[in-house]
Amino acid sequence: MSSTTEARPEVASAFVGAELFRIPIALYEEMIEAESFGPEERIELVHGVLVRKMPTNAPHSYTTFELAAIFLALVGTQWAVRSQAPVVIPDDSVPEPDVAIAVGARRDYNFVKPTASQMVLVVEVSETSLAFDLGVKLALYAAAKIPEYWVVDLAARRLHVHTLPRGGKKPGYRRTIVHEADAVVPLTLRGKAFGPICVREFLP
Amino acid sequence: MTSVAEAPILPPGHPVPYRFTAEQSLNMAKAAIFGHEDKLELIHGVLFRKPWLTPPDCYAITSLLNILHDACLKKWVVRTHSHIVSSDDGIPSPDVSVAQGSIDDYREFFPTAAQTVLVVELSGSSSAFDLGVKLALYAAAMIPEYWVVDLPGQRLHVHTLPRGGDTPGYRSVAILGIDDEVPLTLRGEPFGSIRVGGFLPPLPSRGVPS
Repeated sequence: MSSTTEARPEVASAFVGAELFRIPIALYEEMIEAESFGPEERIELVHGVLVRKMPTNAPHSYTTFELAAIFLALVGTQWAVRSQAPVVIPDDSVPEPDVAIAVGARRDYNFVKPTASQMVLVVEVSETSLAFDLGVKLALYAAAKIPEYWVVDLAARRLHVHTLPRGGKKPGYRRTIVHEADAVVPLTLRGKAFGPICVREFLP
Repeated sequence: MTSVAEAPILPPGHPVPYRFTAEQSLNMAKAAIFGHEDKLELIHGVLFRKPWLTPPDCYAITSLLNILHDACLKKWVVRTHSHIVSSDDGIPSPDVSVAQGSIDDYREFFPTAAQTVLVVELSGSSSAFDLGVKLALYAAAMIPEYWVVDLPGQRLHVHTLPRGGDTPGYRSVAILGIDDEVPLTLRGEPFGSIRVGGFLPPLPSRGVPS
């Protein structure tokens, strides 16, 4: 396997030799328009591959909503706090991060999906998806130059904060800090400080 | 070890892929969502592309079509790159297939697995896939005969007597060379035999671009 395996989902061993059809974003949009998916289905497009978001259980929902509520209280209406909403990452991905903050007001996105360049913070809450969130997803957000990416590891009760994205062939974040539950982390959006958050505040 | 019928599609560390049903896919096709994109197959609910064909691929397919047309007369429908609805999450598009009845039976619907008597896949770089996941898919659908044309190896794999269940496969496998003859039997009815070399293109001689 090449070194790009982690950055882009390829097929598992039984499917080697078969070529996944990578769904372009425009086609994905058409599928959504045509109501090709069931109303209850949570899906993301990651490098042209449709993957299922895990069904959310109580701790996952709790953390997701707490984070959104904390962000909302801190940033008010200056920034758009969104939860489990799509982000367009050209040319082949439309993930739906658990929590995200985009530039501008929430109303700016009432008819259009924000693109990666409009995102200032993306958060994934991980229960069973840690490997994917710290692997393929991290590379995806870093390549899209999303300035800050948080991963909440529910099982270990930790927060991974990734900053300083690096694109190129091996996308990643130059700085990673792993915070324990009692840590206090600053919320800084495009250089503007919005006061600290204690990790425990949003852990179940 | 899990059987190929339930083998994961994405590598370890990935979530499960979203799986379309055959019905969803047919509706999307009807709504012209796929447009001119690609030649697509639905395998275990996931869309795959059929590879671009090389001149030897086309040679083998066209030769086999001609031979099958001559052998089957008008009793069967010989199809190429045409979809089969093989299960509720599978719509493969084999390189060559033979369905029962007449061409008019399939004006509005793709043949089902039960209407399909022979499926042929050409295999180059996809041989593990064709002899693994695809084989299990056709066996599970109880397609009575599945041929895999191994172009680089100049061989024909003939699979008969499908077995469904948890580990689908074919009970009988014969690997034939270019000088062998393969009996053509469709639903127990013999239609003579075909020489494997009759549709396998000769290997390109050295120094000649392929």
